[in-house]
Amino acid sequence: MRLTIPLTGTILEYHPELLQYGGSSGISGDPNDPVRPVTIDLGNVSWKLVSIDLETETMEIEVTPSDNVSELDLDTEGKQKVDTEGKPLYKTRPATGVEKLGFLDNAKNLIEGHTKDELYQISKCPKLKKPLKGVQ
Amino acid sequence: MSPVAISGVDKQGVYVNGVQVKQALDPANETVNKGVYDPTTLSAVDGDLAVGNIEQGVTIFGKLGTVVPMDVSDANAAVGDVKDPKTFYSVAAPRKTGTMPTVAITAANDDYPAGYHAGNVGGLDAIDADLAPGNIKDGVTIFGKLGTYAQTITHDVQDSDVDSAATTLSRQLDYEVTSYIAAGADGVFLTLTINCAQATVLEAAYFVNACGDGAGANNLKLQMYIDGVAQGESANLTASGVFHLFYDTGYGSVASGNRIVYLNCHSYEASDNSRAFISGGLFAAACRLV
Repeated sequence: MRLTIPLTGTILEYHPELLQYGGSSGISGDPNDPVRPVTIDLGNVSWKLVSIDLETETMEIEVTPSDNVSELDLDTEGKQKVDTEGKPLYKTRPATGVEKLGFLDNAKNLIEGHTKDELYQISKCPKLKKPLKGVQ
Repeated sequence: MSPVAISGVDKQGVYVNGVQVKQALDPANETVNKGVYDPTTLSAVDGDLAVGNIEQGVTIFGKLGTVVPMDVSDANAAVGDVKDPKTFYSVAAPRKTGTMPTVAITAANDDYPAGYHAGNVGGLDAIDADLAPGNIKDGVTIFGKLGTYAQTITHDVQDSDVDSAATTLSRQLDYEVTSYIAAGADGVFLTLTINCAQATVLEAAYFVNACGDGAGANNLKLQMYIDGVAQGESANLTASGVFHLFYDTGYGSVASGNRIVYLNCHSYEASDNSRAFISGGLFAAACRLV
């Protein structure tokens, strides 16, 4: 599933002649304020960069649900298991198909259920900064 | 011959030396002693017995008052509304003393106490000098101060490597632990710096056996950046003690110069008490000429 998310961060260099190579080509961000999607927890999914559109200041990402679910390990009486230090024990199991669909729906609703401006507000992230001359 | 008081003889109309002894009213008090008085009027005895001194509608010894009382029935102050120790009168006596405390905002905390504030013409930033645009996140406004502080990645770098000559750079990850990561912050596992002699496609990849730890172990995610641009983010790290394989790849063409790739853990947890473990893996970057 692909989603389009507004960008935050600071662009330090822009080389349009390199855009043709895809990915994040042609764009160099500030390592201390990298170019990235606004900080919103999409839940138990992973994502990968597909493309960056500087005109709309958005990033298209490919979202994939997690294959696993980590949950508290309970005994037969429903009580939480703990280790020797008293920390709760967890177990990881494969996510079911229904759960995976739920992960994707959650991420989709988080992004597509809001306008671009709302996503900036929710994340409290500033808009993308392009301080260099020549960066459109 | 004037009447003469004789010790042991009262004034109850007795005659002394042939003269009747009489009483007189005293304006200093309201006592009317038993005895004989000359005729008079009360207003002649006490000039304050006048219509101008008596409330309208009230008659005292035939004097109908003309003073109109001030209507204060719409007053509504209570002692808690008046600053301590100022006094005031309200509809009912007696005089009252305000109990509203004088309070102030301090830089020590964000309390906003109820009470009277003297204010500060210098504004809130005169109370706490840290209330300044440079201390507030860029784009966020707090009490009218528009922040200019740029959000940064916390370079809690556990390790780093740089090779200005190599076109590939990789580091094996054995047992790596981030420091406890603050809520919403980042901890960098490893930074690789490659010197690109000319325009190149910079590729990077990692695969690690990782898990979270602490109160927000399930709200940690791995992120990879190439030349300051996010390439992707993992799903939630598995919880403490349950290591799981995470991996990602990314690429971008870059101009010549030193270019940085790094592997980072971001905390989406609300508390500060989380960190990430890597028990083994590899992080590599390579240049490919374009």
